[in-house]
Amino acid sequence: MNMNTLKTFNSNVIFPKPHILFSHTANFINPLKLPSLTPSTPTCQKLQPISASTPPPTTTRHCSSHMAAPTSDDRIARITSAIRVIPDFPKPGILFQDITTLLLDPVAFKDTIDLFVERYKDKNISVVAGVEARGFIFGPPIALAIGAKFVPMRKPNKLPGPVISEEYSLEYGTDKIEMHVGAVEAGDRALVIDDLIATGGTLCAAISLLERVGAQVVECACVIELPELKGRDRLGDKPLFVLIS
Amino acid sequence: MYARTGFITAVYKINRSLTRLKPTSISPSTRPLIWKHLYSTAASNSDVNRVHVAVNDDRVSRISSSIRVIQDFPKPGIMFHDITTMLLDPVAFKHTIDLFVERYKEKNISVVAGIEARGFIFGPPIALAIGAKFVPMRKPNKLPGAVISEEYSLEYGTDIMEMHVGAVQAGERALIIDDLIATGGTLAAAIKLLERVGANIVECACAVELRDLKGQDRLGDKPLFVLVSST
Repeated sequence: MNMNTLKTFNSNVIFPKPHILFSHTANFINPLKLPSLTPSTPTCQKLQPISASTPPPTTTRHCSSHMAAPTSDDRIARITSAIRVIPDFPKPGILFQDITTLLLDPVAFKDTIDLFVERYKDKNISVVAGVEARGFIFGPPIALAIGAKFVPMRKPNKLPGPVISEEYSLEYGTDKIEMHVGAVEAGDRALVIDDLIATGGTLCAAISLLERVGAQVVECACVIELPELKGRDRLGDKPLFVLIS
Repeated sequence: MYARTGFITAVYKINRSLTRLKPTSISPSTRPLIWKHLYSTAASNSDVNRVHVAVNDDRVSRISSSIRVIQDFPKPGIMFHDITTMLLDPVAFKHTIDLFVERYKEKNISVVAGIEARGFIFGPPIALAIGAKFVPMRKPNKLPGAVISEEYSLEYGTDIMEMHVGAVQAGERALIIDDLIATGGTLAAAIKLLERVGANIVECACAVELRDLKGQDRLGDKPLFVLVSST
């Protein structure tokens, strides 16, 4: 990848004017807080260690292998507080983690992308696969910053031309995701992105699609993990990196 | 064609076909973002200056050639412009984002609204680069919490687009992004949603325009900027 083009892209990320932050964050972000999302909760107790070939530049007291810079805790705190929880959506009993409020805070959104980019920029990732539709929000900025191609993983009948499909189970019934034939080649090093991992079903299907074409899935990355749903276990030997757990 | 030093303005009359501007000899180091204004001879005076197409320079050429056209998708007779092949070329994808960012970074845009789902691919990188918030415009029942809805017509039947209540404030300057404009129906619905909450829509921007479908006519007085204009 061309380092000059990367610098150009990163230098375009401008900190917003203060009135933009106050005008919308004060009025709109009203997260219904749950203990599992408060900043004081350790966010990375169960994360896999990063490889020895890329040692962390700094150490902090907890989970140092997953935090790249001293300000990571501040950034994670801001990201956490920008996400709102909506109870009983899409159905009663479910607490929906809504990342759209994160997207309304340009600093927090930029921090989110930066945390992923810092982790992956030296890992020779050639493909970022994003799962429809919220994976389309986080995947492309990461792909652009690390010089990888972006491959959308879509619901059936959205992608034109030849596709390969993978079926996966839902709570009731099954669903499918599809990927374009030829988008990913054997030997590509891939990252799978989604906003959140719950049961791990969609991520598992995405991993399968990539492995079927001979790609090597380096890691799955999400903003949020719902650990009680044990999605991590469904990923087999594939590591998972999350910002908030 | 009339040229001034460092900046080109070109006036074309559209008959049935549009002659493509050949790449100029402006060097990359001095090239600002240049765009040409298209005039329709059949349109009234109020229609002028509403469609801006990026000049076909090296970046646009690369973008254009990276987009593949798939025949008869989703149904016979439709030539589907598939931007996913452009996403497989990191340089072309970066050029796409850069062209939009160069155009909008000094325009005090506070909101980038992206239309599900391919608008989600282009909107967030632009929003991040210009320091704006990103607001997804979604199909029904995807957004949790309070939403406002706008119905719009399809070829057969109607569809609904939704936006979160409170995401956009009155007076905010907004940009609407989608990968492609065809009939303009979804962009028109997005314009309505933003105007209903009092936002000021600065422009609609797409990577591809299907010129013959005259989508810009459905945008009212809102200008449209596209990188590639295709028949």
